Amino acid sequence: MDRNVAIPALQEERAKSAARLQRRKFLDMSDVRFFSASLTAPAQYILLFIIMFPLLAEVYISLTSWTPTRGGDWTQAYRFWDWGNNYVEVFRDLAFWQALGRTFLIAGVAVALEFLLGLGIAFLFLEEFPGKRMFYTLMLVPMMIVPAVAGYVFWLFFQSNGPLNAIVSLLIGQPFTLIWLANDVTVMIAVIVAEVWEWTPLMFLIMLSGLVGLPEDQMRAATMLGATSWQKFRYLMLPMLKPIIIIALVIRGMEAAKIFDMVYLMTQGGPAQATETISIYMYKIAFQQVRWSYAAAAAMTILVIMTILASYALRPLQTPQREAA
Amino acid sequence: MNQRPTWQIVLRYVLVLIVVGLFTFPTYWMVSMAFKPKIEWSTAHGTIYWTPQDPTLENFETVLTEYRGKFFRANQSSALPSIRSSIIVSIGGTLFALLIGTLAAYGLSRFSVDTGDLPWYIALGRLALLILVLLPFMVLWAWLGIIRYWYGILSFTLLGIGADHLIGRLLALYYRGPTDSLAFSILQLRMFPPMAIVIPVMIMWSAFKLIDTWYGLVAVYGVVTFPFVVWLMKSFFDEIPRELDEAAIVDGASNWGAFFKVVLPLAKGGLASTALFVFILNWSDFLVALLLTTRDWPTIPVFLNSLVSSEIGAQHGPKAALGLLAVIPPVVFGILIQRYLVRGLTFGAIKR
Repeated sequence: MDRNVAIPALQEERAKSAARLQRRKFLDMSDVRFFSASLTAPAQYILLFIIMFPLLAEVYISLTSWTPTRGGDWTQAYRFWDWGNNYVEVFRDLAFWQALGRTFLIAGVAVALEFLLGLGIAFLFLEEFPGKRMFYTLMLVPMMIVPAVAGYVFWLFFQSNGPLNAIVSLLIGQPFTLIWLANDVTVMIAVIVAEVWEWTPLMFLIMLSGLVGLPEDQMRAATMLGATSWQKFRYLMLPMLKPIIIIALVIRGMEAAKIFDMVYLMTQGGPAQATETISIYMYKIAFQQVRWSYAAAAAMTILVIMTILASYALRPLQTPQREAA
Repeated sequence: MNQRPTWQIVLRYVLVLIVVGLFTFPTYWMVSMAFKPKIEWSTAHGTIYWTPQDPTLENFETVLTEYRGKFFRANQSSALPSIRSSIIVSIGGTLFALLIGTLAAYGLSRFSVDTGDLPWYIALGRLALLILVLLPFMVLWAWLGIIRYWYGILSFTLLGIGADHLIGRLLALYYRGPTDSLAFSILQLRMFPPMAIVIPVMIMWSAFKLIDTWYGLVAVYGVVTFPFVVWLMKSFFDEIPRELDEAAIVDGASNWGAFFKVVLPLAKGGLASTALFVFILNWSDFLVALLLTTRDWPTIPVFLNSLVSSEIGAQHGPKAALGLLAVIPPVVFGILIQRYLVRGLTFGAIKR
């Protein structure tokens, strides 16, 4: 017999229980949906809460020509309404694009070097040798040094009467007093060296964990089939390491693009603009030249550029490769 | 099995020594500088001192004590307040990040339909719509003069969150696919140079009178580092089989009970390493503290910077001593959690 046959009493009963079910879905502590929402909600709302106002304030200021020196506080900025002039100016500002290019140059060169060094050092640490544990730990120390302190250490290191010049003097046998931080080219080298020093250990760790995790059977098979070391590396290890390498490069790349502390302590972006990365550029605009509305426009431009870059760069971090790693 | 010839072993050893030596030298230089008396600081006298000839604790004393007007040396304040502020602020920021991050991580790990894949034009389009809608209100609030007070900011933020919800709904009507992704926006937050966000944060903080207070810094640190907590803890939660929480619920535990009594105790080790990791990040911060503190709560890196930039005579030794004090906690903690460093710094993408 059909279950849905019209028996009025039964229908009423069903309607009631359906209503009860409906009611229970609203604010029921034991409901899974409520539970999952209340897990993520704090994070979501705190994010929104902290980002919302600053973001809009930034846009608002960037559309005016207000600066603290023009009088009034920032709430009065609408009196200096300026439409998009700041943005036009940002696009025309050579220093902005140079700073951006410089940032990508430092990040690109440093990350490439970190990767090559990290991979090379990982090969050195692949097999057991006496004292490995200690050397391994020593290798990790640089990445835990506070970047600002690292900046100071390398500032010391590259002084004209510092240890580096002393070592060079010893090697070439005559006094060597290059002022590294005062020359446009050598100062870039100095900054890149500092960045490479601090973050090669991370690359090394990542690469080592990748190498250790490679399936041994395939390596052994390749050895038995007479593959040379280079062939094993090129056709076996590299393809298998690829997902890890991509993740490592992406993450290091995006962190390196934010570089500020170390450069600020070492050179303050100088000499002149030689090491002015995008963060230092914005810092100088906002706090030394006190052009807040312009700094806000520059910051908004960076946010847009970075959002676009991020959505492509973060793709490898999403699920499929995650399992391969 | 594959015994290498002796020369290869020796070569490797030599290479390892060279590499480790190169990577250790800058740290060594700072450490040795911290113990050198003034005369050994630089090569001005023609020789360079590779090791402290006459080790002394003078530098630590100099940097930790307050010094007022004597000849040849400027007034110098003690580093002790900055050490205190670093400790308080880093611990506070870590706890805050853990509090909101762990819950979100569990949510994303267990209930997420969040693919995390948000095309940039949707992200930017949504942002542009939001800005278009809210900008007139911002100007209105400014014109009314209430935006500089906390209730103006609060009401504006609530309005903004409401508008954000509506825009999300609206977009979902016309665009099939993710229009909102917590996982993605959390990760994306890490992409931006903090400098781009910190200027308006300064404005907001000064309205709330949070500049140069420990809780102001704690709030920013919590928000800046909680992406790491979310991704790290998510990777730890993912390793705990779902069947365990389900079993707990079948046995009569509530959802919260299953989380607090079953899953969290199992993830205790992960939680501890995440805490240490985030502590290192907070401790290492320079930029946020540089902009949000002035006199009362500068952290160690900010204080170090003020020493470097306002120097009279090269105070190499005391600065190195302060640097040494600053790097001890992160190095110790870092070595403790070295197994998880990779996982932490790659947002849990590489687990080993």
